[in-house]
Amino acid sequence: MKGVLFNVVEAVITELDGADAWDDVLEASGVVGAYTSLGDYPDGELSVLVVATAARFELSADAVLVIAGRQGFRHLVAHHPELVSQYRDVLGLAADLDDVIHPEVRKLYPDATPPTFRSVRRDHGIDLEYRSHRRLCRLVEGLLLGAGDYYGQAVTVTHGACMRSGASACLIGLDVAHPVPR
Amino acid sequence: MTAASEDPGGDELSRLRDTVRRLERRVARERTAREEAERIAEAGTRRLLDLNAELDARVAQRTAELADANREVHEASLAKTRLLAAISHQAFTPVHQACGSIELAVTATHDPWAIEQLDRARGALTTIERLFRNLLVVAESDSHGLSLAIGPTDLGTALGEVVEHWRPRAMQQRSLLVADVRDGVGLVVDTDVLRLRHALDELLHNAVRYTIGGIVRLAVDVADDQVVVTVGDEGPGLPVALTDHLFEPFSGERDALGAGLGLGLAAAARIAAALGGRLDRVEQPVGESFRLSLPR
Repeated sequence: MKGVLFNVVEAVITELDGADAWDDVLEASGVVGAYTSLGDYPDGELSVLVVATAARFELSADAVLVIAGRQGFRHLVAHHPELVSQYRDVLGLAADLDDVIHPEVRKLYPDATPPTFRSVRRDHGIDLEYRSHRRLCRLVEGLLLGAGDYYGQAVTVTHGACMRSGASACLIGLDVAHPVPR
Repeated sequence: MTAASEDPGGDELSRLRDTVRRLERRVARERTAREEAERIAEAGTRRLLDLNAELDARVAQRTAELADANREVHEASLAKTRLLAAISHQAFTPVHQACGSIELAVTATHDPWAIEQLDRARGALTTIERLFRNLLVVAESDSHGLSLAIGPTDLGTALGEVVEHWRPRAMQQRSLLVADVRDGVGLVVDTDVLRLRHALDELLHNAVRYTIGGIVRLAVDVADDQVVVTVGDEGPGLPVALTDHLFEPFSGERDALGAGLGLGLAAAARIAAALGGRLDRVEQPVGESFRLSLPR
């Protein structure tokens, strides 16, 4: 997994509970934690960091992922504003994940292995079919909520079928109260 | 009483030690992260340099391949034009001899049928002779340039001979060939008279051929630095599609009457250029007009 995501998690935890909290999470996780955005690190390191964070904040691991996604979205944008500046709303961004965003990500990080998203637009929303061997669907939920915050849109995220329950893909619905006309 | 309360300075020391330990770990993490970032950046730079070198090598290779291909095309084109020139040259002489023989045969008979047949044969051979003559000019010009025999030439005489050659043919077409060569009489220019006559011949040939019941005009204008011969006709104008590549070989004829290959104007333009001048089309409401400019 690319180091930029670890940087985002670090930024979120530091923002929530100070720099010592990140020290504590790293210590509890038993990882070195010297992440650089261009580096590549084992997926397992994110898992142990999430578990340690969950323990520290007395939350479930799912909640930590959703929070990390929602709060971390703007940190991701700070790293790569060009990826989102071309969109006017969260639905436009979500519809282009596979065709525009992730190809751009691969240009920035040639060895990145981003998930795949098939999307079907609806009048007030979009249905996303998420596939990834990392099965970080909760992080995706959080990122979609964070994108709603970024565009100033009230969004609802629903999660139907889930890979972690044996489905071949996660079905994630995103609904926007006041979508921007296409 | 606890140990801490017994030694309040001990708590403070413990906190300081913890803070220092955290700071040391952060510094170590930052150093590790920085070193890795540097390693990644260096690897990226090396890769970019490698890619750049690879790209340079590919560009150089492609450029060399392109140069080779261009050379081959050029050589093939030269070979083609040399072949055309050789064929034209070889064919031109016997055709010319055949024309001479027909001329002799015509004078030796009074049989109307034989004369008619000889006339037809002469017409056909003249067409072939003209084709080879123009082909030779185009091929020579495009391969190594036209050979010239420059010498003092009486322009009025040269023009008069060409005009007189085409006047009977204009009459056959029920047309009038009007020539105003007064400015050219007595004017001597340094040029290749045979090439000049060839070019004028082509212009008049076209004008007379396409004009039926009209007027073909040839005029001479003499200026300080150039002589301009204009040949105009009242035939059908050139199709718009032809006007852009008029002087290219095989660009076509003016109308369905044309049985040629569109070599006449191409040859005339090349001759004009070889003589240091140029051939231009002058747009006009009726018919066509061409202006042959030559240096004085």
